[in-house]
Amino acid sequence: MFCLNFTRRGVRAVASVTSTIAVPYSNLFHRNAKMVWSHDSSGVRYSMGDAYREWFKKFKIERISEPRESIETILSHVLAKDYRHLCHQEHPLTEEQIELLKKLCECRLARMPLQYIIGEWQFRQLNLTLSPPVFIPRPETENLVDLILERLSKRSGLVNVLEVGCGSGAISLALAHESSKVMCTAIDQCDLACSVARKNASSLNLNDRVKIWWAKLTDDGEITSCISTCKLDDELPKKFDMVVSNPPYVPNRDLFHLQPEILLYEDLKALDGGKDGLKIILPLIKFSSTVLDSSPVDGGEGVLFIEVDSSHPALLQKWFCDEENSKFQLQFKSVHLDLFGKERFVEIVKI
Amino acid sequence: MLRNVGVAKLYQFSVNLYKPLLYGWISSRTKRTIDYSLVPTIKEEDLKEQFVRGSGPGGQSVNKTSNCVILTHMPSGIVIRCHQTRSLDQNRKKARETLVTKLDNLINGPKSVEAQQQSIQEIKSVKREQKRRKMASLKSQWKATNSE
Repeated sequence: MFCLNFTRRGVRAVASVTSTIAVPYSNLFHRNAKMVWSHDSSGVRYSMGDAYREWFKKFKIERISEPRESIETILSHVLAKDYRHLCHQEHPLTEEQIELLKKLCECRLARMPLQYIIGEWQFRQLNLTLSPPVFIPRPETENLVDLILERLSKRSGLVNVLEVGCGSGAISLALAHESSKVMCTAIDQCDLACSVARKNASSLNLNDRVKIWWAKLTDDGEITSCISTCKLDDELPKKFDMVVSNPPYVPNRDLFHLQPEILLYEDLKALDGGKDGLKIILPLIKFSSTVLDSSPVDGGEGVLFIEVDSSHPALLQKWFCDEENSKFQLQFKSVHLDLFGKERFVEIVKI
Repeated sequence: MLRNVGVAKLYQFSVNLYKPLLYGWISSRTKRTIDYSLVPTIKEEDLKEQFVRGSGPGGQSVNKTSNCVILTHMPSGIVIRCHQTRSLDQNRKKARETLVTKLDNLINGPKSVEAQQQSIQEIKSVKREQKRRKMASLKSQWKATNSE
């Protein structure tokens, strides 16, 4: 409570007896003093705006990438409301909120990606749970789903899709969510990724249409179960209509120039594509030739979609021209650009 | 006598039911339905999109969360900035929806979908207000007669 006291020396502002801590008289008339209201034991009201300004400054000093997005996302998560749309940004934060905010901002100062800090991110229409070191879906992969959905619309009946290297399950879950005619089988060699993908599948109620297996693709182009080192023949369908993948494709020359967010927290096995980036892609192509059908059933031949590095389409076209590789009976059909104008997706069909 | 009245009413009712079929579907549109036929369609060639992704190889090599889409419709000069969701794809879709609404309002003016929705709302609120006043007056009348 605040009131004016009229005295012989003029008007002075006095904190009334209802306040818990008396405000020092001299502070009220100091040129730079803010009007401090007794609030808690520290005597200072810490508002959302104060938090924003303090941590935005710290992020800029430490040269954290995307300082504005970082503080806005963390504040929105702490307040459970979109910070950008709040009108009363001078509203004070509670003790718990201040504590949580400090913890999350320290994580950001340690270069943890925002998606791991808040534990989730949006991929197309879905909210996916994410935790380190499971690979964070990139925006380019959202275009890949558009491409696949366009192909699916030309087919009738149920389509069996295999995803190799599903990570958090983004591609399979988005396909199952947006198209009612897919049955997805997804594999990943990391058991943490499989558990995150299964968690996402159950929270999105897609368990019946997305099956996740802990398995790996060998260098010879075979899928082996990670539980018992044998082929997964009995559990998986023999043939698939489509194989899709966002395999590790970063060439070695780029791998150690990545942002600290990626190098420190994401699974490097989900990124490392070997010397030229084709370490996983070539075995994937060989494997696909064994599970894709060439005979056009229900309007389409077996097709393989892969997200690749922009240097790969040229290398892959050369690989397909090699006579030795014609035994796989696959044809390089087309390259598709991503939103940023880079050659990102290759389409390969079974002939 | 009563039977004849009943039959006449039934006939009147059935004629009203079949009137739309007699005069064509246009007459079945009432003041409450919205006409979507004037909504403009946008061509992808007329659009220019801008996103922040930076230089370099992109793809898996970059982990950036900025997903703001700046959509420019070149023929009309309308620029939409969309940052509503955390998904780039969803922001693109929402930007297009906002663009269609803005173009509709620009081209069609009072016949745009938003203007039509607003006029329907206004009619509804006027009718609600009239009903409320009528109920209030009936209530006060009843109170007056009952208190006697």
